Amino acid sequence: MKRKKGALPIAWTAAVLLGLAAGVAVLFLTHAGQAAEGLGQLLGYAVSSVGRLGAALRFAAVLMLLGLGCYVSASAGGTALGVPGQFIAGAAAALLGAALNQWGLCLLLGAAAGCAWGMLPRLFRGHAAGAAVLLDWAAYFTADALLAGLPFQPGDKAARLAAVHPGAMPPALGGSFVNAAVPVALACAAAVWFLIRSTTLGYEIRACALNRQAAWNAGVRVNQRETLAAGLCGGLAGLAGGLFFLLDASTYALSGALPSVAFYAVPSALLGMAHPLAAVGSALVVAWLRSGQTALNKLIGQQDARLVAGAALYLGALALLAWRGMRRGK
Amino acid sequence: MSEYSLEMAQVRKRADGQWILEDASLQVRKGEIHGLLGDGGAGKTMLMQILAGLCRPDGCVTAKRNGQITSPGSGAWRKGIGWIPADRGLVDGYTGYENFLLGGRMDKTLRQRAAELQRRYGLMDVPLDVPAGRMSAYERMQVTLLKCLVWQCDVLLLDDVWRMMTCQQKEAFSALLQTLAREGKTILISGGEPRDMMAWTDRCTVLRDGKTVKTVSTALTDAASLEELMTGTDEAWTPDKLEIAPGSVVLEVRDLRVPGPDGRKPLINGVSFEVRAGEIVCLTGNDGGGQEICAEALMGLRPLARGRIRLGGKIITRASTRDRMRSGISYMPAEENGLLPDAPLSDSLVLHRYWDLAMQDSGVIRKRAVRSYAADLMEDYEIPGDSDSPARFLPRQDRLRALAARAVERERELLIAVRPTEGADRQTAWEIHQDILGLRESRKAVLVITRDVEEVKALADRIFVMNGGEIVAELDPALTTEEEIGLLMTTGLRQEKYGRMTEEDE
Amino acid sequence: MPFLIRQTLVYAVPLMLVALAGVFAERSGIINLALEGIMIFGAFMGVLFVRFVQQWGWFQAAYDAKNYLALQGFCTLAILFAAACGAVFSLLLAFAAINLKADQTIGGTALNLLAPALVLFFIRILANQNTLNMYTGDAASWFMLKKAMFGYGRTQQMGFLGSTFVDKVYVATYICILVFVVMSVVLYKTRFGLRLRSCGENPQASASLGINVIKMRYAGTVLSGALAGMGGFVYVLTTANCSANGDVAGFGFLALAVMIFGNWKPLNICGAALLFGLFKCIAASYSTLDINGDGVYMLKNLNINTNIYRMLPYVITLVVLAFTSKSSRAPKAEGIPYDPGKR
Repeated sequence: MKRKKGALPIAWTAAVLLGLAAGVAVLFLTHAGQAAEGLGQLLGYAVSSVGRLGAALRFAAVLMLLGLGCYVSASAGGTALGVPGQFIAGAAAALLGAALNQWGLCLLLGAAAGCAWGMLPRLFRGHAAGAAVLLDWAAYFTADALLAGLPFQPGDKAARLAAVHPGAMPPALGGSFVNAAVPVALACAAAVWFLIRSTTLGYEIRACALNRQAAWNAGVRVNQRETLAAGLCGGLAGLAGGLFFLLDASTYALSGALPSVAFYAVPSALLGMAHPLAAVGSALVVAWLRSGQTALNKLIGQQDARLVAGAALYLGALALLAWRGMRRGK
Repeated sequence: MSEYSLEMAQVRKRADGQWILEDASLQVRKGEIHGLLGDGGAGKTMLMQILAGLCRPDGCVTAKRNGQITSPGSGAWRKGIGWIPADRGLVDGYTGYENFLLGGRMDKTLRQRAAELQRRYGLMDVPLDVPAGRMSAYERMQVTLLKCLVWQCDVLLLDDVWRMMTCQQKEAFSALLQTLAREGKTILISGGEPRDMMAWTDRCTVLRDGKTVKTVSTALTDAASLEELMTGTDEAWTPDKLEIAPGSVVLEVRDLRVPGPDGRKPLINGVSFEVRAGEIVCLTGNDGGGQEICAEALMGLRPLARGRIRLGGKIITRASTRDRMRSGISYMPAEENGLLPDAPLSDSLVLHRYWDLAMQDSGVIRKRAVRSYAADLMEDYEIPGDSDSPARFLPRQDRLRALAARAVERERELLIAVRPTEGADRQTAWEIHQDILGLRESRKAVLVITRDVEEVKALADRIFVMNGGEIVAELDPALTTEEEIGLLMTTGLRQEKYGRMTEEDE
Repeated sequence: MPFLIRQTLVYAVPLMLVALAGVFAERSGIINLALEGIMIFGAFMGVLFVRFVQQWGWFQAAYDAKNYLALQGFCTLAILFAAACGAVFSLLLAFAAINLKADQTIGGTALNLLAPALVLFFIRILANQNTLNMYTGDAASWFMLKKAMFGYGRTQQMGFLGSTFVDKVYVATYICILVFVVMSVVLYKTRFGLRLRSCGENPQASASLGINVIKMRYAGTVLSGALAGMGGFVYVLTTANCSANGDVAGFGFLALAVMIFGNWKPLNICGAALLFGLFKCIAASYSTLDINGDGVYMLKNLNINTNIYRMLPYVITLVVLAFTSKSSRAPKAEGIPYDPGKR
């Protein structure tokens, strides 16, 4: 019996469409009268203006990196429990380095911090998952403490990052609506795809998840490869964190921002962790929906808009999960 | 009241994309020892599991328990049936006694009953208060049997238990089974050796490719006929072994010691031997003998506390696994450690050389080279299937052949093979043995680690028996017997010494 | 000092109960990452119960008559209700993991996301705000044990044991300790527990003995849900003044960490939870801590950043973990869906 090749893209598309259908259903159930207009807003807002498209793409870049991190982690058989901590660690490092006024360096700092946060739990041998959870919390609190004294704060226009350290923000490409963040994220996607699927290093990492004993018997340094994958996942998550806050987020209270990012990042990662292309696609879809949700806010109120978006995102993600789970069980 | 305690007809079962059982039928009488004979991959274990009520068939025409039509796998079916697998019958973390407690009502008399049963059936040596994980495989099997007796099972299903017994153990165990059968218990025992069936069963059902071929009374037939029924041909499947004078020493092993966990007894201690070009050395032993640890130590997968390893004169004691493979060792691990099940087969087929310059260029995999290598390998060794489909979907016989093909193809100076034909049917085992013997003819050195005494006799030029982590004897296959090897594996003692010891006890 | 001990217990007890919840599930072979979600759900349902019962005036007479026994009974009913709801919620995980053979870590994560969303949705409908409170009064006046109940006047002290373990304490905390002890005994000393654990270690051997592995795994997961739901409600009762806001501050994940560090053993879990609770208490109230009652607020005077204190419990646990980090003894068949036909 053969595994059907190309089943994943079909399943992914089906899941996304199913999620959208669910969101639309909720929209009709709650606001039948404005449903048609709401649907138009939901789907069209992101592309309604160049500025909004740019904003959606920037957010998609962040989501892409998080999805890629989860993909790398899953390829080695690790957990993604440490991703929130890596995200915050990266954000903190990037913001602290803002004084250097070099966005490239800031992003590198963020990636390095995230990478360290990813590799630390591996020191705890059998307790890696628990250590990752604890480090999430450690990051949560450390970051707030470290960032309390920053010279730039959201809110007051004059004191924002754009005014204080403009060089620290990734710039728009050639004056267009596309931010430098987007090619950075896409380059990472390509690099991750190449690394995991086309290099011997990626092969060894995948072997660790497929049959750890067999990999060990073949001379693969299993512990080292798993740690490397964890570090790579952390680096990507840290990069995502750095990007998110350097792109002029509305708050630098990192712990406070986390839940709202998580609301979108989790379904994006769940939909995207099967393949780098899926990570890119899911990020774009989720960012697009998020943009539409802001329009829906004005139309039917924040709570209901959140419900519609939530239904679309989470049902889609869960549908794909169920499909993958049942396929595995065969 | 029917004379049959178990009856099933035309059982069908599908798993992992293949029909494992297509038309299996069985009728077991009360008070008899009934054998289920089948080659590797015939479907014995699956049928046994269905009979034990552990899984349900995809279809069956009749299912009767004690003459009553009963749904297989239901509570009514399972009542009174005891399942004794070769190894995984107990929870490792519990002691034997705690495993007993799993079976039923908590009873003050449980210990007494267990002790009485031990006395009655001569199982006094079986340890009950040791965690199952620390028992040997044979002891675990005995405890599982005792557990079934404690809970008064009248049907005992033993799955492939002879595989890990020496001939002395088989004799003692079968005497026990005969006692139980005389008391009215029904015994169904599966296995792959016609001689065992002839020696220890009353009637025997032969299974081939998931179908029942015939049920015969062993008094009216012989091993050769059973063999023919089992394999479907009358080919002898004896490997051709030529006379070859061994050459120079390829592998030299001196005084290896691998420490045990938590500073307990070392896993192997003081192991020394040599393997020469053009010879096959077999390291054999029971569960816990240490022979597989030896193989892992030779491949650099275990830390050495002491010892020296030389390959072709070069010291490789501290070399990494990868370097050892580069220096000329080809490693064939046991089946469960050899393949990547959910990845395409080609990924598994290059697992031993993906770092080779032919397969990668500065860290980037040459995908075309990998695919063509996999295709060539599959063609040369006649492994059917598609190199893109997951290794998991390949039937077990083909998986074993793929592992052998991978290891043998490049004709390295030394081959270390661990349990190369475990679970193989006659033909596959013969093919793999031919491959290994081919290496020997090409003047390569081969070290085979196995538990299968038949395999040892077929392949070995020299035999080293291990017990408790030490080499207890070096034997010449022409001058030794199965019994002697078995005794050494279990007790570490030669016949004369063992005989003297038992005489002293009396 | 009495305050320190009391507050430590307040944080530690729900933590160890939920950690035990995780153990129950994992020992039977199901990874339960949904502890956070179940806690949230249990907390919400418990508060809902309290709110409705107050609305219907059932215990109002008891409250007015200062019939403290009846009020404690009310509290206990709420706890039981929360436990039952947690059990029902965990059926979702059980079904997905056992019948659909879905990936258990992902199923648990899904429930963790579902619970707060669902809870917040209903809170907004019921209370038109983000938090669900009690209908009248507050947790302290309704459910707390006070020295006045035992006849002490305002200025009289109860003695060390009294002021630590009786005054200003919730009976709920002691109920949880009792449940923890009882369920630990059930898991490790009864035949039921033996069979449950065998399903996690070797489901095939268990099945061959007539143990219904599927029923056992359901039992394990449902019990896990009940304990987590109970823990969630007691958490919001004792630390959040019996109000639910769809969040338990990551306690569920903490319980997971405590469970792993405690190596799936109740006694170790107890120790880890106490350690953690101690530092969480210090972190929350270091500026008002008067350790030996001599009027000196030592920690406040040290002038360390708030965040360091908040981080302290996690870091200390990590350090302790690093020193006790031997190979962790996870149950063997954990996370692997039960496949009867597997060889």
